[in-house]
Amino acid sequence: MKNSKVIAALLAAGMMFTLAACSNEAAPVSSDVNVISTEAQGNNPQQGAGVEVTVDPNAASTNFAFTYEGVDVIVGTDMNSLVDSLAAVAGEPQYFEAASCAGDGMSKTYTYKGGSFSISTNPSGNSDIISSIMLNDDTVSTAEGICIGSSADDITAAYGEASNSTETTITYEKGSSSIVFVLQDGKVNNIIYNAQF
Amino acid sequence: MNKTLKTVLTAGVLTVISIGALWFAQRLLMPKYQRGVIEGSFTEEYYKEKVPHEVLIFGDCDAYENFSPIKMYEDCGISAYIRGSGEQYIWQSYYLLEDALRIETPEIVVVSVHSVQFNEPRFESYNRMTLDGMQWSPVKVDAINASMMEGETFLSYVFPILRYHERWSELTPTDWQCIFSKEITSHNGYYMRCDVKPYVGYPIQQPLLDTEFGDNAMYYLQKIVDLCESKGITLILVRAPLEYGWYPEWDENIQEFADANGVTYLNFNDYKDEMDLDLNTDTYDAGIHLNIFGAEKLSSFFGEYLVSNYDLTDYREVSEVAEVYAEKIEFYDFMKEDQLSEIEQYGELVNYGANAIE
Repeated sequence: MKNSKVIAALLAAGMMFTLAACSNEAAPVSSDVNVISTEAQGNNPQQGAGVEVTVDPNAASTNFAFTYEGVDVIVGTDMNSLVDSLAAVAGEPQYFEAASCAGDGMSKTYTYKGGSFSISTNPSGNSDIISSIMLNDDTVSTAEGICIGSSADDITAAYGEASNSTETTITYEKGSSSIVFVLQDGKVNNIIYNAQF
Repeated sequence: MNKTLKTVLTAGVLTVISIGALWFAQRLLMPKYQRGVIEGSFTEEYYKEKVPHEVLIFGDCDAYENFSPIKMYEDCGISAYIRGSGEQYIWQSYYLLEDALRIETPEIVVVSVHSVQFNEPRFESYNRMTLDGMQWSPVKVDAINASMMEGETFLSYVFPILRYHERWSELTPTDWQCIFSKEITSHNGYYMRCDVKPYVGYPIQQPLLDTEFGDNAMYYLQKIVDLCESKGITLILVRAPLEYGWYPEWDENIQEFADANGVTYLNFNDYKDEMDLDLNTDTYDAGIHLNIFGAEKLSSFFGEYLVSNYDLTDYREVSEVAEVYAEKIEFYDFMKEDQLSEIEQYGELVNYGANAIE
């Protein structure tokens, strides 16, 4: 009987080990595998819209900020706290939301001033984390004074040495954010702030 | 009975009980995908099919939300099935094709090219939704190895309890109800939505920084071409009639690839007028996916194209298949009526889609 007790103990230990053996497994995306926050059909292919959101607690202090009429918009922070203040200075945005292919939560895009700039978010719990900011015309500029139409030299003068550059892009990284200047004919054609989730 | 025999028997019984308990726990803890997010059920539902399919469609939501095989049968007698699930990557479509070829050889394989934009997996949970439901075979092993992200282990696919053990505290009534059997949720792989949310314009897309698709994605697209060719299957590449999340440069790439491989590519955006598609009424999420009204228009159009260009069986004339499809149509019509009555009563879907997540 002593033997069987030992065997039972070993089997029970085996079961416990099996249940506990997953400490190295990928953490579930959220509280349930069913619930996945992602944008349906990559509106943001380079940065990857709908990336699983890991909120950077230092984003507000370490990331690039876009400032519009005194309102700081910082990728990696919660958009919900900015909606009212942005509406007060930029007017009501055009709003677009997209559910995931399979999941709940909405990825959202707020487009201001008829398209001058737009802000995209990904859901994280009750928050909508800013995943990207796009500047689309020369009525808005970065905090360092770069806008659509600026030259590559203007960018270098304002930001210094780039983290990465190609024939058509100049990229800077800061904290858990990046800013990408997309060039066409040597001039800035798009400016994109991205969060690196 | 001597002591040793007694010990061996006791150990045997305890082993069986332990394995049974673990098996039960695993069945209980695995997500059921029966309400709300049902896409995780789609992969395994294919194995319950009782009829042959001359057309198999592969892809992500671009496939399973926009084509209605039941409509293709009703209008054209085509027996089609969609093997798709949420963000199903192109390599997963390749392996699901290989998997399907273990069971049947269709005349035509249709592949949505939407997922070619992804060169590597982005979500562990989408991997699980596509792969957990696959039957075990060397193909599943390859599919898992091609899909695993950092931090995932092969063992957790063999023993999913390693992945889902933490769901103890989140179990829903459905988890208990569906331990041993699950209901069919799709219509030959089609995800039905009857609600309407009109298209009012897409937000400005980010510019493409690199117009080329990734090497890994193109490698598997080429493998699909080669596999179909080796099996004598006609391959058709498609894109649903929705412009969201797609770029002209990508379309050119696909057209070039199709031309180089002698494959037909149909971007249904080019045929919206012919199919009378109206994104004021034919989408449930402002132009990201079609609803049933749009999917039926696309499916009628595509069905007509297929029967006009290929020699396909009219399964409405094959009694044993028609009998099965009669049940499928009944289920399809029931769900359609149920969704429409919910929309009439509540103004939105209640027991389907995100509102139904427990």
